[in-house]
Amino acid sequence: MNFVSKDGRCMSHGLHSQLILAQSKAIGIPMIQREVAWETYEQGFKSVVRELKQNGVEGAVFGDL
Amino acid sequence: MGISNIAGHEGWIDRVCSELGIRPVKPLWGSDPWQLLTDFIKEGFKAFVVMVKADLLGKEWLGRKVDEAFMRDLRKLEKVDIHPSGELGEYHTFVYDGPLFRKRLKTFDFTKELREGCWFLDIGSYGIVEK
Repeated sequence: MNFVSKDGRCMSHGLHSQLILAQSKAIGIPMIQREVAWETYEQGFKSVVRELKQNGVEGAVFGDL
Repeated sequence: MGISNIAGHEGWIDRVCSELGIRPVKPLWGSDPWQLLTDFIKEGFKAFVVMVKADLLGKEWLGRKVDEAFMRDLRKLEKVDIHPSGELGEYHTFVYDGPLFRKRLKTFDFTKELREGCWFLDIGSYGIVEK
């Protein structure tokens, strides 16, 4: 999952969303990109996860330390 | 996902996942950040710096590869309280190759831009190439 702002950049890293898409293609893992604002981040996150749950997803991996 | 562990984010993940009824998996949680950085380099992941907080790291850090020299220079700065893996948003990197990658990315046309107290490295063009 990757959340991008209205100007087409990744929320935290400021990278163009197309570059992040290219990164997922190079890795070979499909990615879902969704446009959000900081205020709608949680809402957007939840809507993507709900869609994934319908396809059988039971968990999510986070890179937090 | 690799969201930075900004203050309270840990609680956010647990709360949101619980509300959605999915299991949060955090394989790196509790790891030593210097060890993680060492392993990241040793395993063959390739990354460079794409964003720095202007008051902590200068724009000369933009574009630097994440390697032993990078770690060494970061250690020297530890006195200014920079988390080694940039978990508080001190810096962000872009990974362009590594063991997980079937192909790698080549990036070109860099420009440095200052926006809202942070230096960003803008990547003007790129391509996916065979390894």
